[in-house]
Amino acid sequence: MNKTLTINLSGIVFHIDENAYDVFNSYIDSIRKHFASSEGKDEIMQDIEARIAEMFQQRVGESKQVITLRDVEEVTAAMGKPEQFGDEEPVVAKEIHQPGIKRRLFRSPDDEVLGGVCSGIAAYFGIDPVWLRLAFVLSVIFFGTGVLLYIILWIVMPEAKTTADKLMMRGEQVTISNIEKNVKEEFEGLKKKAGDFGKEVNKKFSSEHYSGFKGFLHRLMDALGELIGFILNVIAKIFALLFILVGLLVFGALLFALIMAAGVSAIKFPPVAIPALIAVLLLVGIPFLMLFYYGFRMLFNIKTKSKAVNMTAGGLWAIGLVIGILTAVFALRNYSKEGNSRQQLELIQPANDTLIVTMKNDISDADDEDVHIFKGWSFDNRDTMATITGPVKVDVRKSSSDKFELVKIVESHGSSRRDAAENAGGVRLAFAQTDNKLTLENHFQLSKNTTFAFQNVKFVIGVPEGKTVCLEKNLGNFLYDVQNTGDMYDYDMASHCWKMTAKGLECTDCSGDERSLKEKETDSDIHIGNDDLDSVVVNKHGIVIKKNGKDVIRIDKNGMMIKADDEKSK
Amino acid sequence: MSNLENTKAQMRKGVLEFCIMSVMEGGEVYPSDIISKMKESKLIVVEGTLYPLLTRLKNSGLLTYRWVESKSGPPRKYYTLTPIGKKFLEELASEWNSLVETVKHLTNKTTSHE
Repeated sequence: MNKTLTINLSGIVFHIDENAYDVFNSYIDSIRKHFASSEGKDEIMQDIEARIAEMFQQRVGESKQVITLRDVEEVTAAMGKPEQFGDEEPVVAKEIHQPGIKRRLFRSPDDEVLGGVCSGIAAYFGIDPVWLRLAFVLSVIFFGTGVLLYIILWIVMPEAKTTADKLMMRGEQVTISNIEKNVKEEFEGLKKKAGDFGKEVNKKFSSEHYSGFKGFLHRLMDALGELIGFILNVIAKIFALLFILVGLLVFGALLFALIMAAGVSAIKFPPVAIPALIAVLLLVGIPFLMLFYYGFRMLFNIKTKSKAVNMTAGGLWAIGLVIGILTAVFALRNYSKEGNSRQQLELIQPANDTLIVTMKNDISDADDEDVHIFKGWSFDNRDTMATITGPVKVDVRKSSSDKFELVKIVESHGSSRRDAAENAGGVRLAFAQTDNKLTLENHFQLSKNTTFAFQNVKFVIGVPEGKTVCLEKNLGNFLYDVQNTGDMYDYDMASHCWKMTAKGLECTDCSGDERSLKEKETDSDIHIGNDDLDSVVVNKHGIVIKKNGKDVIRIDKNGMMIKADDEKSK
Repeated sequence: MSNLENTKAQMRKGVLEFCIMSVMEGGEVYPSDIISKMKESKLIVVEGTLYPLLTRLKNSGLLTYRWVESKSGPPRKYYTLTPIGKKFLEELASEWNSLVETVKHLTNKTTSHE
């Protein structure tokens, strides 16, 4: 027993066995595909189907009512397979652009050097692929951007696998006039519909034919739908273009920045640096790369499946996340312990018992060219040695002997105290002494094998009792919590000379003005009280309350100071 | 060997239109009549070859057809030559004759030399 199907061939009904139907159906399909791009394809199909119907008709009668597999085989053998037709033009004329088929972007497997990207793009724009290939080869010279772009395009663009793909690859040319034609056609269609509207209205009033009006409404809606669809399509294309630009620019910038960062070679970072760069590239780069990918697909109407690409991107992003977390944990461990190294430096004892201390400040001139990583730190990679401008502090204390002393303390971080101390030991910094002048430097260098670990340097100048130290003005920003009998702020202590007494450092050349607001008072200040001796001044630097011409309360960037008669408190 | 087959096929293809139109010179024809005549001379192997060709000739204005009811199936198309088709055929025939003469002449010459 066989199941049969009923088919209509050129208006005649046939019963056909199920297995025979399958063979017959695929045969008809193959013929239809063969003539897909031929002129008069519909007529050819009708003629062929009519002839087959006739042949089938001769094979059925009273005693045999069903078309069998054998009938199908005989009839198709007589009609011949498409490849036996041997008709004039080949179906795919390679260089002929097929009219009426919307052009799509594909990689061309027939004309490929690597992946067929260039010839695919060339086919899309109707240009010679040689120029594109040349452009790609040349772009390789420029930082290899061409290689990256080529690989991305290779992934994004689908390969033209079937004949239909290849037809679309060389479909109707996308040119300005072509786009214009399409837009015109859209509007012509709308205009025609608007014209129909008039006719329909007339019809409606003349015949009161309500269904005509209804039909018109349907068409109006269709036309509106088409127009909205067209506008949405244009908007989508604009967005697609934006996606492509943003995606490519951000990804390119990121890659460039990371390569530059990796190029700061003279500074040794802990081993986490490389995985950290990879993690950033994956976590930030993948989303923008996908933005580019989807923009590209939208722009060129690419409809192939993107599951593999999505899975890969998702996987890479997840890998980036894992690397990022592991790196962060590792980095925290690497920097979790503090340690320091102490070094006593030899000083020439000044002849007149006065030591002048100054700061060599030359690195700040190069600020613009430094690679600033974060506030307070800068990396200068112009030399083979890594120069780091880091926090340098200066403290002045009582010497443990009767000589001037200089101690360098380097604080650092590391995975253990020992490791931190090791990192601290790699700091190289220079100081110079001529007679009674000690010149310190506000930056230091890391020796080649020392890992960057937020090292910072503190100079402790030891002054023996009865001897004097003069701090030059450029030290102001580097003095850190220096104890003195006048309780003067660190910044103010610079540009004065100090004598070490049993009580501590005593200012030898202070006029007493130091406590007033450094900056000149201005017109915009708020003065309370007309008497110069007793007044309250409020301006952008802070608040000062004066009594008898002297500050009693002062609040500014250095903190708060309250002075009651001779007793002071901070 | 396949080269020979290819050349033969090309030659057959070149005269196919001429032959089809010659068959039609006698009057109205149905495509399967043409096929049965062609099959004898191996000019056409399968019927499928004929339909696209007829459509093309008809679209170029050389042929026209008439629907005829059929007892054994759907209505049939009976083809005839149009006046343009007849003129076309005349020119093809004269071209054919001069070709045959040339080929005869050339092949005789070569054999006589040997």
